[in-house]
Amino acid sequence: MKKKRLLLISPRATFFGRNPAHQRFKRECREFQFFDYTWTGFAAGLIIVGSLTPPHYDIQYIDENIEPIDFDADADLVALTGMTAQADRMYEIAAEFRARGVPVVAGGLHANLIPEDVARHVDAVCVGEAEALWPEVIHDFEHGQLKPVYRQTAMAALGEAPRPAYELARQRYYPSIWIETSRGCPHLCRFCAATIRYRPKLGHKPVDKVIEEVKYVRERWDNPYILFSDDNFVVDRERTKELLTKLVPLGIKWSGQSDVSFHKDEEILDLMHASGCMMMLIGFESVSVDTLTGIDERNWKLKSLAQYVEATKIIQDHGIGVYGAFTLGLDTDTTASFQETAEFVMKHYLAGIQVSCVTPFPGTPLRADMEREGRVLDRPWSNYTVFDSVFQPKNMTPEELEAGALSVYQAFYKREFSLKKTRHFKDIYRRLVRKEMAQETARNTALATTGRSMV
Amino acid sequence: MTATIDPTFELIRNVICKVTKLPPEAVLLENPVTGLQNVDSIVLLEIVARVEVSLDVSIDEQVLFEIQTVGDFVKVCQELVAAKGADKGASGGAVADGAR
Repeated sequence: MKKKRLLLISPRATFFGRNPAHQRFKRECREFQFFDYTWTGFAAGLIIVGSLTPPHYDIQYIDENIEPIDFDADADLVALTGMTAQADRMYEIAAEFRARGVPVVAGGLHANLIPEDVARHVDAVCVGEAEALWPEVIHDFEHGQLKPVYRQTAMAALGEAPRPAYELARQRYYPSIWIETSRGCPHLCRFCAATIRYRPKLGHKPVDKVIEEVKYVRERWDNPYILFSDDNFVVDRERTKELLTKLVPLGIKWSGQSDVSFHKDEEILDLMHASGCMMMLIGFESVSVDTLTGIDERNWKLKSLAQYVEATKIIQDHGIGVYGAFTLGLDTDTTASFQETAEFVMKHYLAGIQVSCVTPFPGTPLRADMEREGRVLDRPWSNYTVFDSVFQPKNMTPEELEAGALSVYQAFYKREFSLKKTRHFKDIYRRLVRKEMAQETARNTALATTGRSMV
Repeated sequence: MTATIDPTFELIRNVICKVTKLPPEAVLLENPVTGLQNVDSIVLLEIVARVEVSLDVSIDEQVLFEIQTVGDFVKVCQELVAAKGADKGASGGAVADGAR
């Protein structure tokens, strides 16, 4: 029997500002060249869909940022994913395949945010987690009964889900390989689209399952740099410690995302360094008391503000770079906020920064507020990069917001500061290397004198 | 006949291999330092710090930014080692340190 052919497609998009100033900066700033390296990965949702597809399908994964789409290729079903910045292209791709009689299913963040809008462009929309929906989609497709919308009714059990089909993305060059160990975040920030739509409650994969996935990836890529793509890697401390302890012998390099709360836990910090953690992206969001007030339901980020400086120092002294994420342009921000942010990230030697413009993603409370106030600009979805301004800020123009956010990058990645930052991190690493060598010497001495290795 | 490998290059290669898990044959003098597999800015700094500690030298940050290839890195280190007048003694012992 001829296998059915499923195309999994991630549409192309710009993952930094589309405006000319951002593009010029990305092209010309040598110190910024690691941006793509650090944050480029495959479309994780499609890799999960691949793992949930029965074996009588021939699956092809296509990342349009890497390879072109052949619309005339043999295909029985197309699955598209995408963030809002990819939506316009997602609709174009859907139109091409549907014109050829190939049904198209869409999922991913944008489809979850405004399924009604997406439904006008595709045959079926998946609202929720792939694990809970895709088997039903496949069943209905095979019976010629695709429904316009599939909605999740219960949270997916991550422990029971099959291993994502990482092998689908293997032939392409991805600087980092994304592995998910948990899904969801306890903080419900007003502007965050992901946690609002995907999962109201945190879900974990069992630690041994994660370790098996890391080993699987390690066998298929040469020395992969792994990005644990969890919304918040360090929520359950005990589980995190167990996971880190089991990562140590694997000898990988990895990055993750979290809030700052783990900085007080010496054991986690040591385990992170020992297990190869190079960088943690931490959502600071703002250094302003006014802006952080009410940014999340429990005011957790505001309460953490006083700890930012201490947290950054402690985390980085353990050899883990802090990649600070800031969101500018909220109603309490003024044009002075850019300078304040730049001063903070430089004074405390953050390893890297992500400075984005507040973006009223469809479906978020922020969007509802801004629509009510008539402040959402008429911009295509492709401008929802989080680096382009798509709304009218209260205390500045949209152009000032874009330029102001970029000005923080320009200050941070200036050669003079890069030199200072390099010296700062070199000192940290030299200290850690000396400490590691001294420990090794002590171990060797003990082994030589007692014949027993120290524990 | 066995080709002689420069001890500073050997040390640097050992450090790069230890940090990145690359096989020694993948580290060549002509490799661009920012293009090595698995090397981002933080990983690069770890490599530099390990080499500095092993050779007991300190590379000026301005010089570090001018380094394009592994060969450039080796040359800068050779010059620093020579300048401190400890070339012979330091490199031999340092190779073992860097390889650990």
